[in-house]
Amino acid sequence: MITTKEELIVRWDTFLNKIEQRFDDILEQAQQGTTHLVSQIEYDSGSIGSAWSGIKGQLYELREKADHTWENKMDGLFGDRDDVTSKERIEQFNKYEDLSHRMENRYNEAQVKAMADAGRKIYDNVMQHINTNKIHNCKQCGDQMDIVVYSFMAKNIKCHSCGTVNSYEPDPRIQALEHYTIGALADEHVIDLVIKEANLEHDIHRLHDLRNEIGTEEKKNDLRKILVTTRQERIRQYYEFMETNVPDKASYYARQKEERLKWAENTKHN
Amino acid sequence: MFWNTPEEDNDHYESYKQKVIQLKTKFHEEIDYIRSVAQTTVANWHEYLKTVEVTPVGETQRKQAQDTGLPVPKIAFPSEYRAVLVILDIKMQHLVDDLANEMRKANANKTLDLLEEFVSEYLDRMIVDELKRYLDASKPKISVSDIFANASTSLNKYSTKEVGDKSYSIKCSSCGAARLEEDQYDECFYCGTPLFSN
Repeated sequence: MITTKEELIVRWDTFLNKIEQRFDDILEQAQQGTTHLVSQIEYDSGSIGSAWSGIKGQLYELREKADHTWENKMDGLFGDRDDVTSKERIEQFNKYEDLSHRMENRYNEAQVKAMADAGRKIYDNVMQHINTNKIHNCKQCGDQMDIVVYSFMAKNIKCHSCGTVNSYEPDPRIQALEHYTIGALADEHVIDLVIKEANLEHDIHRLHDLRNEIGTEEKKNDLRKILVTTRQERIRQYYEFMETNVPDKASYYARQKEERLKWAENTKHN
Repeated sequence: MFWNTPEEDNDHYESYKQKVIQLKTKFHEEIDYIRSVAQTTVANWHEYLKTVEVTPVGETQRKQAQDTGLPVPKIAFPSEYRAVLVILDIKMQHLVDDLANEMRKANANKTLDLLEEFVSEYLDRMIVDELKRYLDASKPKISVSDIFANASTSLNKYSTKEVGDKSYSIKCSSCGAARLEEDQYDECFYCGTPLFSN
Protein backbone atom coordinates (compact mmCIF):
# COMPACT_ATOMS: atom_id res chain seq x y z
CA MET A 1 0.00 0.00 0.00
CA ILE A 2 1.53 3.34 -1.09
CA THR A 3 1.72 5.75 1.83
CA THR A 4 4.01 8.53 0.67
CA LYS A 5 4.47 10.61 -2.45
CA GLU A 6 8.09 9.53 -2.60
CA GLU A 7 7.15 5.83 -2.60
CA LEU A 8 4.76 6.46 -5.47
CA ILE A 9 7.48 8.24 -7.43
CA VAL A 10 9.91 5.37 -6.76
CA ARG A 11 7.28 2.89 -7.95
CA TRP A 12 6.80 4.83 -11.18
CA ASP A 13 10.57 5.26 -11.70
CA THR A 14 11.13 1.55 -11.11
CA PHE A 15 8.47 0.65 -13.66
CA LEU A 16 9.96 2.99 -16.27
CA ASN A 17 13.46 1.62 -15.62
CA LYS A 18 12.16 -1.90 -16.26
CA ILE A 19 10.64 -0.75 -19.55
CA GLU A 20 13.97 0.80 -20.56
CA GLN A 21 15.90 -2.33 -19.56
CA ARG A 22 13.56 -4.46 -21.63
CA PHE A 23 14.13 -2.09 -24.54
CA ASP A 24 17.92 -2.37 -24.06
CA ASP A 25 17.59 -6.18 -24.22
CA ILE A 26 15.48 -6.04 -27.36
CA LEU A 27 17.93 -3.70 -29.06
CA GLU A 28 20.94 -5.83 -28.15
CA GLN A 29 19.27 -8.99 -29.45
CA ALA A 30 18.24 -7.15 -32.62
CA GLN A 31 21.79 -6.01 -33.25
CA GLN A 32 23.07 -9.58 -32.81
CA GLY A 33 20.38 -10.89 -35.13
CA THR A 34 21.30 -8.24 -37.70
CA THR A 35 24.98 -9.18 -37.66
CA HIS A 36 24.06 -12.79 -38.34
CA LEU A 37 21.60 -11.94 -41.10
CA VAL A 38 23.93 -9.42 -42.79
CA SER A 39 26.60 -12.11 -43.11
CA GLN A 40 24.20 -14.07 -45.33
CA ILE A 41 22.83 -11.40 -47.63
CA GLU A 42 23.68 -11.21 -51.32
CA TYR A 43 22.35 -8.19 -53.18
CA ASP A 44 19.32 -6.95 -51.23
CA SER A 45 18.57 -5.95 -47.64
CA GLY A 46 14.82 -6.64 -47.70
CA SER A 47 15.08 -9.18 -44.89
CA ILE A 48 16.92 -6.70 -42.65
CA GLY A 49 14.22 -4.10 -43.30
CA SER A 50 11.50 -6.63 -42.41
CA ALA A 51 13.23 -7.60 -39.20
CA TRP A 52 13.58 -4.00 -38.05
CA SER A 53 9.91 -3.34 -38.79
CA GLY A 54 9.20 -6.16 -36.38
CA ILE A 55 11.51 -4.59 -33.81
CA LYS A 56 9.63 -1.32 -34.20
CA GLY A 57 6.48 -3.26 -33.32
CA GLN A 58 8.15 -4.40 -30.10
CA LEU A 59 9.09 -0.82 -29.28
CA TYR A 60 5.50 0.22 -29.90
CA GLU A 61 4.23 -2.46 -27.50
CA LEU A 62 6.59 -1.29 -24.77
CA ARG A 63 5.43 2.30 -25.19
CA GLU A 64 1.80 1.21 -25.14
CA LYS A 65 2.43 -0.67 -21.91
CA ALA A 66 3.98 2.39 -20.27
CA ASP A 67 1.25 4.64 -21.63
CA HIS A 68 -1.52 2.38 -20.33
CA THR A 69 0.10 2.11 -16.94
CA TRP A 70 0.18 5.89 -16.67
CA GLU A 71 -3.36 6.35 -18.00
CA ASN A 72 -5.00 3.55 -16.04
CA LYS A 73 -3.10 3.62 -12.82
CA MET A 74 -0.41 6.17 -12.06
CA ASP A 75 -2.19 9.31 -13.27
CA GLY A 76 -5.05 8.57 -10.89
CA LEU A 77 -2.80 7.69 -8.00
CA PHE A 78 -0.83 10.93 -8.35
CA GLY A 79 -3.96 12.94 -9.06
CA ASP A 80 -5.73 11.75 -5.93
CA ARG A 81 -3.01 13.04 -3.67
CA ASP A 82 -3.34 16.49 -2.19
CA ASP A 83 0.43 16.71 -1.78
CA VAL A 84 1.01 16.38 -5.54
CA THR A 85 0.65 19.63 -7.46
CA SER A 86 -0.50 19.77 -11.05
CA LYS A 87 3.06 20.70 -12.09
CA GLU A 88 4.50 17.68 -10.24
CA ARG A 89 1.94 15.39 -11.88
CA ILE A 90 2.99 16.69 -15.30
CA GLU A 91 6.65 16.12 -14.37
CA GLN A 92 5.91 12.48 -13.62
CA PHE A 93 4.06 12.08 -16.92
CA ASN A 94 6.98 13.74 -18.71
CA LYS A 95 9.27 10.97 -17.47
CA TYR A 96 7.26 8.57 -19.66
CA GLU A 97 7.38 10.97 -22.61
CA ASP A 98 11.13 11.47 -22.22
CA LEU A 99 11.67 7.70 -22.09
CA SER A 100 9.50 7.20 -25.17
CA HIS A 101 11.50 9.87 -27.00
CA ARG A 102 14.84 8.31 -25.98
CA MET A 103 13.73 4.87 -27.12
CA GLU A 104 12.56 6.26 -30.45
CA ASN A 105 15.94 7.98 -31.02
CA ARG A 106 17.90 4.86 -30.09
CA TYR A 107 15.73 2.72 -32.34
CA ASN A 108 16.26 5.10 -35.27
CA GLU A 109 20.03 5.15 -34.78
CA ALA A 110 20.23 1.38 -34.52
CA GLN A 111 17.94 0.77 -37.50
CA VAL A 112 19.88 3.18 -39.72
CA LYS A 113 23.16 1.50 -38.74
CA ALA A 114 21.70 -1.94 -39.45
CA MET A 115 20.61 -0.90 -42.95
CA ALA A 116 23.96 0.83 -43.57
CA ASP A 117 25.87 -2.31 -42.49
CA ALA A 118 23.70 -4.33 -44.85
CA GLY A 119 24.38 -1.77 -47.58
CA ARG A 120 28.11 -2.04 -47.11
CA LYS A 121 27.94 -5.85 -47.29
CA ILE A 122 25.92 -5.66 -50.51
CA TYR A 123 28.46 -3.22 -51.98
CA ASP A 124 31.33 -5.60 -51.15
CA ASN A 125 29.42 -8.52 -52.70
CA VAL A 126 28.73 -6.58 -55.87
CA MET A 127 32.26 -5.30 -56.27
CA GLN A 128 33.65 -8.83 -55.93
CA HIS A 129 31.76 -9.77 -59.10
CA ILE A 130 32.12 -6.64 -61.15
CA ASN A 131 35.03 -5.85 -63.38
CA THR A 132 35.10 -2.08 -63.42
CA ASN A 133 37.80 -2.18 -66.12
CA LYS A 134 35.69 -4.24 -68.50
CA ILE A 135 36.01 -2.98 -72.07
CA HIS A 136 32.99 -2.53 -74.30
CA ASN A 137 33.39 -2.25 -78.02
CA CYS A 138 31.18 -0.52 -80.55
CA LYS A 139 28.73 -3.00 -82.06
CA GLN A 140 29.22 -1.46 -85.48
CA CYS A 141 32.93 -0.83 -85.92
CA GLY A 142 34.46 -2.66 -82.93
CA ASP A 143 36.35 0.32 -81.60
CA GLN A 144 36.70 0.69 -77.82
CA MET A 145 33.91 2.71 -76.19
CA ASP A 146 34.25 5.07 -73.30
CA ILE A 147 31.79 3.36 -70.91
CA VAL A 148 31.76 3.64 -67.11
CA VAL A 149 30.83 0.20 -65.78
CA TYR A 150 30.00 1.50 -62.31
CA SER A 151 26.90 3.44 -63.34
CA PHE A 152 23.25 3.52 -62.36
CA MET A 153 21.32 4.34 -65.48
CA ALA A 154 21.01 2.91 -68.94
CA LYS A 155 22.44 5.31 -71.46
CA ASN A 156 23.00 5.84 -75.17
CA ILE A 157 26.60 6.48 -76.19
CA LYS A 158 27.77 7.60 -79.62
CA CYS A 159 30.87 5.85 -80.88
CA HIS A 160 33.59 8.46 -81.45
CA SER A 161 34.85 6.48 -84.47
CA CYS A 162 31.80 5.59 -86.57
CA GLY A 163 29.01 7.63 -84.94
CA THR A 164 26.82 4.60 -84.19
CA VAL A 165 24.72 4.96 -81.07
CA ASN A 166 25.33 2.06 -78.70
CA SER A 167 22.97 1.42 -75.77
CA TYR A 168 24.50 0.43 -72.46
CA GLU A 169 22.68 -1.14 -69.54
CA PRO A 170 24.64 -1.41 -66.30
CA ASP A 171 24.69 -4.60 -64.25
CA PRO A 172 21.35 -4.69 -62.34
CA ARG A 173 23.28 -5.36 -59.15
CA ILE A 174 25.01 -2.00 -59.49
CA GLN A 175 21.73 -0.24 -60.24
CA ALA A 176 20.23 -1.77 -57.09
CA LEU A 177 23.08 -0.26 -55.05
CA GLU A 178 21.42 3.14 -55.37
CA HIS A 179 18.63 1.99 -53.10
CA TYR A 180 20.16 -0.76 -50.98
CA THR A 181 23.56 0.81 -50.34
CA ILE A 182 23.88 4.46 -51.22
CA GLY A 183 20.47 5.45 -49.85
CA ALA A 184 21.23 3.57 -46.63
CA LEU A 185 24.65 5.22 -46.32
CA ALA A 186 23.09 8.64 -46.95
CA ASP A 187 20.69 7.99 -44.07
CA GLU A 188 23.64 7.04 -41.89
CA HIS A 189 25.50 10.18 -43.00
CA VAL A 190 22.76 12.44 -41.62
CA ILE A 191 21.53 10.46 -38.62
CA ASP A 192 23.05 12.88 -36.11
CA LEU A 193 21.06 15.69 -37.67
CA VAL A 194 17.90 13.55 -37.68
CA ILE A 195 18.34 12.98 -33.94
CA LYS A 196 19.03 16.66 -33.38
CA GLU A 197 15.78 17.53 -35.20
CA ALA A 198 13.83 15.03 -33.13
CA ASN A 199 15.31 16.47 -29.92
CA LEU A 200 14.39 20.00 -30.96
CA GLU A 201 10.81 18.95 -31.75
CA HIS A 202 10.63 17.27 -28.36
CA ASP A 203 11.93 20.40 -26.61
CA ILE A 204 9.41 22.60 -28.45
CA HIS A 205 6.62 20.22 -27.46
CA ARG A 206 7.82 20.28 -23.85
CA LEU A 207 7.62 24.08 -23.77
CA HIS A 208 3.88 23.72 -24.28
CA ASP A 209 3.67 22.83 -20.59
CA LEU A 210 5.11 26.24 -19.78
CA ARG A 211 2.96 28.14 -22.25
CA ASN A 212 1.61 30.47 -19.56
CA GLU A 213 5.05 31.53 -18.40
CA ILE A 214 6.67 34.71 -19.61
CA GLY A 215 9.35 34.16 -22.20
CA THR A 216 8.13 30.74 -23.32
CA GLU A 217 6.93 31.91 -26.72
CA GLU A 218 10.31 33.55 -27.40
CA LYS A 219 12.13 30.33 -26.44
CA LYS A 220 9.82 28.37 -28.73
CA ASN A 221 10.52 30.73 -31.62
CA ASP A 222 14.26 30.45 -31.07
CA LEU A 223 14.03 26.66 -31.08
CA ARG A 224 11.85 26.69 -34.19
CA LYS A 225 14.50 28.71 -36.03
CA ILE A 226 17.20 26.24 -35.05
CA LEU A 227 14.90 23.38 -36.09
CA VAL A 228 14.42 24.86 -39.56
CA THR A 229 18.17 25.39 -40.09
CA THR A 230 18.95 21.90 -38.78
CA ARG A 231 16.36 20.40 -41.07
CA GLN A 232 17.73 22.31 -44.04
CA GLU A 233 21.26 21.18 -43.25
CA ARG A 234 20.06 17.58 -43.02
CA ILE A 235 18.33 17.83 -46.39
CA ARG A 236 21.38 19.48 -47.95
CA GLN A 237 23.81 16.84 -46.66
CA TYR A 238 21.55 13.92 -47.61
CA TYR A 239 21.01 15.01 -51.21
CA GLU A 240 24.61 16.10 -51.73
CA PHE A 241 25.67 12.64 -50.62
CA MET A 242 23.31 11.14 -53.21
CA GLU A 243 24.48 13.57 -55.92
CA THR A 244 28.10 12.66 -55.28
CA ASN A 245 27.60 8.92 -55.08
CA VAL A 246 25.04 8.54 -57.88
CA PRO A 247 26.58 10.98 -60.37
CA ASP A 248 24.36 9.69 -63.22
CA LYS A 249 21.37 11.15 -61.37
CA ALA A 250 23.02 14.21 -59.87
CA SER A 251 20.63 16.66 -61.52
CA TYR A 252 17.63 14.65 -60.29
CA TYR A 253 18.88 14.71 -56.70
CA ALA A 254 19.76 18.38 -57.00
CA ARG A 255 16.15 19.17 -57.98
CA GLN A 256 14.83 17.05 -55.12
CA LYS A 257 17.12 18.92 -52.74
CA GLU A 258 15.79 22.33 -53.83
CA GLU A 259 12.17 21.23 -53.44
CA ARG A 260 12.76 19.79 -50.00
CA LEU A 261 14.68 22.88 -48.86
CA LYS A 262 11.72 25.06 -49.84
CA TRP A 263 9.41 22.75 -47.89
CA ALA A 264 11.67 22.92 -44.84
CA GLU A 265 11.57 26.69 -44.83
CA ASN A 266 7.79 26.80 -44.96
CA THR A 267 7.01 24.13 -42.38
CA LYS A 268 5.08 25.42 -39.39
CA HIS A 269 5.78 24.02 -35.95
CA ASN A 270 3.50 24.17 -32.92
CA MET B 1 -33.79 36.18 -11.87
CA PHE B 2 -30.48 34.59 -10.96
CA TRP B 3 -30.11 31.18 -9.38
CA ASN B 4 -28.28 31.52 -6.14
CA THR B 5 -26.57 28.17 -5.91
CA PRO B 6 -25.26 27.68 -2.38
CA GLU B 7 -21.48 27.24 -2.29
CA GLU B 8 -20.30 23.75 -1.35
CA ASP B 9 -18.73 24.07 2.06
CA ASN B 10 -15.33 22.63 2.84
CA ASP B 11 -16.58 19.86 5.14
CA HIS B 12 -18.94 18.62 2.48
CA TYR B 13 -16.22 18.82 -0.15
CA GLU B 14 -13.70 16.83 1.88
CA SER B 15 -16.22 14.20 2.88
CA TYR B 16 -17.54 13.66 -0.66
CA LYS B 17 -14.07 13.78 -2.12
CA GLN B 18 -13.15 10.89 0.14
CA LYS B 19 -16.18 8.98 -1.14
CA VAL B 20 -15.06 9.50 -4.70
CA ILE B 21 -11.59 8.26 -3.79
CA GLN B 22 -13.10 5.21 -2.10
CA LEU B 23 -15.14 4.51 -5.22
CA LYS B 24 -12.00 4.71 -7.34
CA THR B 25 -10.16 2.39 -4.96
CA LYS B 26 -13.04 -0.07 -5.07
CA PHE B 27 -13.00 0.01 -8.86
CA HIS B 28 -9.26 -0.66 -9.00
CA GLU B 29 -9.58 -3.48 -6.48
CA GLU B 30 -12.36 -5.12 -8.49
CA ILE B 31 -10.44 -4.86 -11.76
CA ASP B 32 -7.24 -6.11 -10.15
CA TYR B 33 -9.13 -9.06 -8.68
CA ILE B 34 -10.64 -10.00 -12.05
CA ARG B 35 -7.20 -9.78 -13.67
CA SER B 36 -5.59 -11.91 -11.00
CA VAL B 37 -8.27 -14.64 -11.04
CA ALA B 38 -7.98 -14.78 -14.85
CA GLN B 39 -4.33 -15.74 -14.36
CA THR B 40 -4.74 -18.50 -11.76
CA THR B 41 -6.47 -21.72 -12.79
CA VAL B 42 -9.48 -22.68 -14.85
CA ALA B 43 -11.14 -24.02 -11.69
CA ASN B 44 -10.66 -20.71 -9.86
CA TRP B 45 -11.90 -18.77 -12.83
CA HIS B 46 -15.01 -20.93 -13.22
CA GLU B 47 -15.64 -20.60 -9.48
CA TYR B 48 -15.52 -16.82 -9.87
CA LEU B 49 -17.87 -16.94 -12.89
CA LYS B 50 -20.40 -18.75 -10.71
CA THR B 51 -20.33 -15.92 -8.17
CA VAL B 52 -21.12 -13.34 -10.87
CA GLU B 53 -23.57 -15.67 -12.67
CA VAL B 54 -21.67 -15.87 -15.96
CA THR B 55 -21.84 -19.15 -17.88
CA PRO B 56 -18.44 -20.39 -19.08
CA VAL B 57 -18.07 -21.15 -22.79
CA GLY B 58 -18.08 -24.78 -23.88
CA GLU B 59 -15.21 -26.75 -25.36
CA THR B 60 -16.77 -26.55 -28.82
CA GLN B 61 -16.55 -22.77 -28.83
CA ARG B 62 -12.97 -22.86 -27.61
CA LYS B 63 -12.00 -25.33 -30.32
CA GLN B 64 -13.75 -23.28 -32.99
CA ALA B 65 -11.70 -20.22 -32.03
CA GLN B 66 -8.48 -22.25 -32.06
CA ASP B 67 -9.28 -23.75 -35.45
CA THR B 68 -9.63 -20.29 -36.96
CA GLY B 69 -6.17 -19.38 -35.66
CA LEU B 70 -7.32 -17.01 -32.93
CA PRO B 71 -5.19 -17.00 -29.75
CA VAL B 72 -7.22 -18.76 -27.04
CA PRO B 73 -6.11 -17.87 -23.51
CA LYS B 74 -5.70 -20.92 -21.28
CA ILE B 75 -8.01 -19.66 -18.55
CA ALA B 76 -10.55 -16.90 -19.25
CA PHE B 77 -12.09 -17.05 -22.71
CA PRO B 78 -12.44 -13.46 -24.07
CA SER B 79 -16.27 -13.49 -24.13
CA GLU B 80 -16.28 -14.69 -20.50
CA TYR B 81 -13.88 -11.90 -19.58
CA ARG B 82 -16.07 -9.36 -21.31
CA ALA B 83 -19.21 -10.64 -19.57
CA VAL B 84 -17.49 -10.16 -16.23
CA LEU B 85 -16.51 -6.61 -17.18
CA VAL B 86 -20.11 -5.81 -18.13
CA ILE B 87 -21.26 -6.94 -14.70
CA LEU B 88 -18.59 -4.81 -13.03
CA ASP B 89 -19.62 -1.85 -15.16
CA ILE B 90 -23.27 -2.18 -14.10
CA LYS B 91 -22.22 -2.47 -10.46
CA MET B 92 -20.03 0.62 -10.64
CA GLN B 93 -22.71 2.60 -12.47
CA HIS B 94 -25.17 1.88 -9.65
CA LEU B 95 -22.65 3.06 -7.07
CA VAL B 96 -21.90 6.20 -9.10
CA ASP B 97 -25.60 6.98 -9.52
CA ASP B 98 -26.26 6.58 -5.79
CA LEU B 99 -23.35 8.85 -4.87
CA ALA B 100 -24.29 11.40 -7.54
CA ASN B 101 -27.85 11.60 -6.21
CA GLU B 102 -26.54 12.12 -2.70
CA MET B 103 -24.21 14.88 -3.92
CA ARG B 104 -26.97 16.62 -5.86
CA LYS B 105 -29.21 16.69 -2.82
CA ALA B 106 -26.37 18.25 -0.85
CA ASN B 107 -25.48 20.71 -3.68
CA ALA B 108 -21.99 19.24 -3.70
CA ASN B 109 -21.24 20.56 -7.19
CA LYS B 110 -17.44 20.56 -6.99
CA THR B 111 -17.32 16.94 -5.93
CA LEU B 112 -19.93 16.08 -8.56
CA ASP B 113 -17.32 17.31 -11.05
CA LEU B 114 -14.78 14.96 -9.45
CA LEU B 115 -17.23 12.08 -9.77
CA GLU B 116 -17.84 12.90 -13.42
CA GLU B 117 -14.11 12.98 -14.02
CA PHE B 118 -13.80 9.51 -12.49
CA VAL B 119 -16.60 8.21 -14.72
CA SER B 120 -15.15 9.66 -17.91
CA GLU B 121 -11.58 8.58 -17.11
CA TYR B 122 -12.24 5.08 -15.85
CA LEU B 123 -15.75 3.86 -16.57
CA ASP B 124 -16.83 5.21 -19.94
CA ARG B 125 -14.39 3.07 -21.88
CA MET B 126 -13.62 0.49 -19.24
CA ILE B 127 -15.06 -2.52 -21.07
CA VAL B 128 -13.44 -1.68 -24.41
CA ASP B 129 -10.03 -0.75 -22.96
CA GLU B 130 -9.80 -3.56 -20.42
CA LEU B 131 -10.88 -6.18 -22.95
CA LYS B 132 -8.29 -4.88 -25.40
CA ARG B 133 -5.64 -5.02 -22.69
CA TYR B 134 -6.62 -8.61 -21.90
CA LEU B 135 -6.61 -9.65 -25.56
CA ASP B 136 -3.21 -8.03 -26.12
CA ALA B 137 -1.82 -9.75 -23.04
CA SER B 138 -3.20 -13.09 -24.28
CA LYS B 139 -1.49 -12.94 -27.64
CA PRO B 140 1.51 -15.21 -27.94
CA LYS B 141 4.63 -13.24 -27.19
CA ILE B 142 6.84 -12.72 -30.19
CA SER B 143 10.51 -12.72 -29.35
CA VAL B 144 13.29 -10.96 -31.21
CA SER B 145 14.58 -14.33 -32.42
CA ASP B 146 11.08 -15.09 -33.80
CA ILE B 147 11.24 -11.80 -35.72
CA PHE B 148 14.63 -12.60 -37.22
CA ALA B 149 13.65 -16.19 -37.99
CA ASN B 150 10.63 -14.84 -39.87
CA ALA B 151 12.73 -12.21 -41.65
CA SER B 152 15.28 -14.77 -42.77
CA THR B 153 12.58 -16.52 -44.86
CA SER B 154 12.79 -13.53 -47.21
CA LEU B 155 16.61 -13.54 -47.25
CA ASN B 156 17.85 -12.52 -50.70
CA LYS B 157 14.30 -12.65 -52.05
CA TYR B 158 14.86 -9.43 -53.98
CA SER B 159 18.46 -10.14 -54.96
CA THR B 160 18.46 -9.91 -58.69
CA LYS B 161 19.25 -13.15 -60.48
CA GLU B 162 20.10 -11.16 -63.57
CA VAL B 163 23.80 -10.45 -63.69
CA GLY B 164 26.10 -8.70 -66.06
CA ASP B 165 25.99 -5.46 -67.97
CA LYS B 166 25.30 -5.30 -71.66
CA SER B 167 25.84 -3.06 -74.60
CA TYR B 168 24.07 -3.25 -77.93
CA SER B 169 23.10 -1.09 -80.82
CA ILE B 170 19.71 -0.72 -82.46
CA LYS B 171 19.82 -1.39 -86.19
CA CYS B 172 17.13 -0.80 -88.75
CA SER B 173 15.21 -4.03 -89.32
CA SER B 174 14.88 -3.22 -93.05
CA CYS B 175 18.27 -2.00 -94.21
CA GLY B 176 20.56 -2.68 -91.23
CA ALA B 177 21.63 0.95 -90.88
CA ALA B 178 22.85 1.92 -87.42
CA ARG B 179 21.18 4.39 -85.11
CA LEU B 180 23.14 7.60 -85.37
CA GLU B 181 21.66 9.99 -82.78
CA GLU B 182 21.24 9.39 -79.07
CA ASP B 183 17.70 10.77 -79.14
CA GLN B 184 16.72 9.04 -82.36
CA TYR B 185 13.51 7.23 -81.58
CA ASP B 186 11.56 7.65 -84.82
CA GLU B 187 12.75 6.47 -88.25
CA CYS B 188 15.84 5.07 -89.86
CA PHE B 189 17.88 7.92 -91.44
CA TYR B 190 18.55 5.76 -94.51
CA CYS B 191 15.30 4.04 -95.48
CA GLY B 192 12.66 5.69 -93.23
CA THR B 193 11.47 2.46 -91.55
CA PRO B 194 10.37 3.05 -87.92
CA LEU B 195 13.22 1.98 -85.68
CA PHE B 196 11.14 0.76 -82.76
CA SER B 197 8.04 -0.78 -84.37
CA ASN B 198 6.87 -4.22 -83.11
